Amino acid sequence: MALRSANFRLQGNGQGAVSTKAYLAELPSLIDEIDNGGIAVTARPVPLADVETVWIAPEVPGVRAVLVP
Amino acid sequence: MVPGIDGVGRREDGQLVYFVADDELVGAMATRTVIDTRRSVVLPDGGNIVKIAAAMNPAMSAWVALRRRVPIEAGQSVLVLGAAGNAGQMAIQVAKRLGAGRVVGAGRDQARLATLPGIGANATVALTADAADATASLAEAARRSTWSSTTCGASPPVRRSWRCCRPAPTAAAP
Repeated sequence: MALRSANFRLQGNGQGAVSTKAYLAELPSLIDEIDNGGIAVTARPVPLADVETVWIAPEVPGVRAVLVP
Repeated sequence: MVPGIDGVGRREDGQLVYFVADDELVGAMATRTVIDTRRSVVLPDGGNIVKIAAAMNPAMSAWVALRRRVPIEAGQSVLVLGAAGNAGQMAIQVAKRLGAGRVVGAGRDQARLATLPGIGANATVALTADAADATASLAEAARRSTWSSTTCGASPPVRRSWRCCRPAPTAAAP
């Protein structure tokens, strides 16, 4: 199918498409969702002092490493 | 150069905040850094700072897209492209949380695709190396979707899916 015949809309969504102020206004509600588990994440805290080894270690799929002081 | 574009930090007054660094002033991965208070949000007392630090960045593109750009209607179907990545996994959860009906996740990593039903995906589409196969699978998923989200680096199969979308899907590219 040619793109011209598709009923299709493409929108950007990064900063610029949404103002910084509007973007920031959405963050408190997202923080609440993450904090109360409505949006789940598997996080692995790692000491900042170990960043050199953590940086090159293979990622565990689905696990986000978080550097902590 | 110290990398890092966002994070959770404790201000000098003791208040915990989530912050996004200025575009040209990175350095969040430091013991101490400078933040723009206009680009920071105070955290709730007792908040899980590790989870917040981990999830904000990959979650916010879908969150803002579905609240500001294409406010989702209850029951709407959503196709998430690049769903096997961190932002994609968040997009599935965000869509469900904001009231989506059927949510389909498409991606390349089949092991990670298999985990998506556990976080709310109703179906998954494997973007295999077989272009014809991937295009046909995506076409079927896209045909039934009114909104689709693609993560930053759209792969060839994802770009092909844009040809398949109807009726009137909107793709938001963070």
